[in-house]
Amino acid sequence: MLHALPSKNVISLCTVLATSMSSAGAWAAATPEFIDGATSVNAEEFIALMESIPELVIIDSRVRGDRIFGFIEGSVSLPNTHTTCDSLSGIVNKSDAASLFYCNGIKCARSNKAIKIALDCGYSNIYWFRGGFEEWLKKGYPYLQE
Amino acid sequence: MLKIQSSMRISLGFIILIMGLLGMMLAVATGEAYQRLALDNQRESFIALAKLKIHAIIEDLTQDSVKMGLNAQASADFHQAVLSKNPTRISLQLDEHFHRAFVTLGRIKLIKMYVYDNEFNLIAISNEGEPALPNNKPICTKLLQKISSRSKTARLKPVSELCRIGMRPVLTTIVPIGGLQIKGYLQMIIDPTPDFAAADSDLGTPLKLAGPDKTIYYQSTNWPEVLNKNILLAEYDLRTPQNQQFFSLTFASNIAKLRKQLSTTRNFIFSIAAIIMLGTTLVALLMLQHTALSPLNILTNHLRRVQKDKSQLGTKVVVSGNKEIVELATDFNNMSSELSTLYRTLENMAFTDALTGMPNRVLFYDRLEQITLTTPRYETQFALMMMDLNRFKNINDTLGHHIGDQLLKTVGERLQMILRESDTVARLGGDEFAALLPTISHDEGVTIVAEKIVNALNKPITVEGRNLSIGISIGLVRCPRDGDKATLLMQHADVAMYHAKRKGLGYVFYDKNMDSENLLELTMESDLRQAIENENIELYYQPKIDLQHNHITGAEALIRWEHDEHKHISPEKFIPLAEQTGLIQPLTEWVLEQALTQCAAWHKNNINIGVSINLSAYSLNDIDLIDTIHHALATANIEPQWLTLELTETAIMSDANRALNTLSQINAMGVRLSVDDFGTGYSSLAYLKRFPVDEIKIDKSFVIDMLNDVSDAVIVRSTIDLAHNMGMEVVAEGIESQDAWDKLAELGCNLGQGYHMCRPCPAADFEKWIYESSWGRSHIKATG
Repeated sequence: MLHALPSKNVISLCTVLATSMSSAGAWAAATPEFIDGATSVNAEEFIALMESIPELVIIDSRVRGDRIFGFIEGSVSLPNTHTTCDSLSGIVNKSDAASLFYCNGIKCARSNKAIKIALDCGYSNIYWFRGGFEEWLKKGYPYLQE
Repeated sequence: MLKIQSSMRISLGFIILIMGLLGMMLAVATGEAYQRLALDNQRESFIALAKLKIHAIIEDLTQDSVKMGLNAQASADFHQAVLSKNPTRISLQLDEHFHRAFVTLGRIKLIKMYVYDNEFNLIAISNEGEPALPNNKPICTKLLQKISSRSKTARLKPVSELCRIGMRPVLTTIVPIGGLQIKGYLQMIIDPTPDFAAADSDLGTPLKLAGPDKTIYYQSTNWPEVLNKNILLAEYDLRTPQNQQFFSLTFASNIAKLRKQLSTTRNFIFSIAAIIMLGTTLVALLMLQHTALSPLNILTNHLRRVQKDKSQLGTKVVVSGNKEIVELATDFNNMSSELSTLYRTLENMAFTDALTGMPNRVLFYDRLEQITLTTPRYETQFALMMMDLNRFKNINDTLGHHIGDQLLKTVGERLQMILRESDTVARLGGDEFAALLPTISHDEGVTIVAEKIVNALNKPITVEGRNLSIGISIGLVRCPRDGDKATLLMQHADVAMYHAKRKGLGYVFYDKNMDSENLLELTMESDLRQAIENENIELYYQPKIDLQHNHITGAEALIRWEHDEHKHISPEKFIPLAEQTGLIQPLTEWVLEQALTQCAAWHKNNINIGVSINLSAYSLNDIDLIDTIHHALATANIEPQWLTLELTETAIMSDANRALNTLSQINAMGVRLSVDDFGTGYSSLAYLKRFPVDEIKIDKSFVIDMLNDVSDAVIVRSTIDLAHNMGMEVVAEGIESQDAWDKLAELGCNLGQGYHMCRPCPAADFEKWIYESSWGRSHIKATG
């Protein structure tokens, strides 16, 4: 999944486009597959990551209204709107500690936005479960409800 | 036995028909096979469809059950209950979900729920659901083993499987309890029957659902009461992943429509096959007709034509068709032309006279028939000539066949020279020739030709240095005057020819008065032959009386023929016939023997008289004559001086040189010679002097008229005188009165014959006369 990275200009252009489309709000477009500086994973890679890094911090970037339908066990609720360098530092104690962000699914931009904030805050070991809760449910993995 | 010979057309047609019927049967069989195949395909495709549907149902059920399981384990209370491992607590949680499942996921018919801990130990069972499952032990353990054998992360995946509780088919689904940290496992036992049962309405086909123990779990309400051929049963045997029998799903689909369609199709195929067969048969027959039957027919017809008309031999037949037929025709043509050549050769041989190369009797008769049959009656105008050589037999007999054959060839050549191309001149056999003159319609024309022929053959013919005078007699007929049928014309021409020959006329036209005479002659020839063979002829004797001494000196033997039908036939009639046919030779031989035997008998009885026999002119040409006389004398044991041979004057004169030679030999033997019928010919006594003659017989015409006619009396007197002067005895014939006797006796005539003394009579009567008459008695007295 770590392909030869495209040039910075192209990536930033994509980002701008994606952002502008998202802000248009007329329809929910898919988020880009990759975020520069973060590692994208799917459900199985996520589960495998849990095995190899038991101290992995799982951050649920959804708002509370979405979380009540179910969440992945062990995840910490931190909606992207509340994500700041400060709120992050309360959950991820070190800038190089592993952390994973997820939200509802590929059309959900919350985890994307949260990761960008975290990157800006200087966190370097960030994983992105782009498929999110939607992929988790679809693949029949157990979840929790409050 | 009756043999039925079927024609090639029928037999081949029959074969084609049989082939066609076989084709039809094949079509029917194929149709049947295809129908079965179609039904099998229908069944297979239905089963495939059912399989798809069933697996879709299983898939749906699995997804729903997984959803339900995941939902059931999601609550924190459930988690805590599982973590507490308190069965009662867990069962309560399970029962709650039982109730909730009925509300939310009414489709799923839960049987029971089980909970296992991390190590797959059964820790709780729902109270709800069906009461008694065996021993409260784990069920469908294969699925549990499947999960336990997985790695930790993989265990997070829910699993679902068909399995059996005893004989009961169920679906079981296991989901992990917890999240990334597994706290246990939730197992749901589900009854799949309602979901499967729904397949009947989905597929629109009645369904029967049977378990492995044949228990009927479901049967559609519209399941057919009677299973007939319009119902197609498609059975799908559903099995568990462990290959255990699960459900047997039988669908009863109504295929009436398909059946109807199939039967329509089959009928259509059958009709097409029948049409094709008919078409093929027709085409085959047409081709057969064109390539074999027609050409064969042409050949057969030609063969029949040739059979009827041989002139068709050699004409080529052109046929089209198969290579074999064309070859056959070529061979046929070759053979035909060979046969044609052969036939013409044979025809030539059959219709040509080998000796002269002229047409023969068969061809002549054929041409004659052609002309009489093809030309309409009464329009036919033609002449027919029948020709016979006059002296051929003598030449053939005396000079041999070699000369005779040469002669015939020359005759043929002369005839062909005279007659025209359009005439047919043929050698009928022997010395008989005939000519057909198809363009001559007047007697004058025929006469000119006949005269030319007679003249041409009167000129001597030179063969090997000999000049042979042959002569010809021609009988002429004209069609239609003398008949319009070939046989009749030939017969009439024959009659005319005989007439010409007998009368020495050269040529004669047919006259119907000739018929009776001629027919008699024709039959007489064979009758005479038989008479000689069977000795049906008889000798009569007439005494020769010495006029000076009044006693008998000899007897003249006269031949008599008493014919069965015609009574007495005079020698004047049959002797010429005997001469012409060559019968004269055996006749003479017979007369000689007969007369001399009789003479010998008289001598034995002291009647010492001589015997006279009449000799034909033809006999003078008989080279065996001298031997015959010798032989007869020796056989009868009679001295030659007792035998007198009488010859007519004309017989001697016709071939004087030959006569002199023969007569000299006879004279040398000591046999007496007499000239008969003297005075009727043109010879003179002076001429006769050259011949060794012992007596002359004055013809009875002179003797009878002598008493009334002075000139006759002079002839008689001078003849007697002259004869005496030349040392010959004189016999007077025809003495019918005492006056004639007296006169002749006075003239010094030596001997006399006549009715006055005795008529000719059979030997017995003759002998009686001798004993009774004075002339006879005086002789016996004188000699005895």
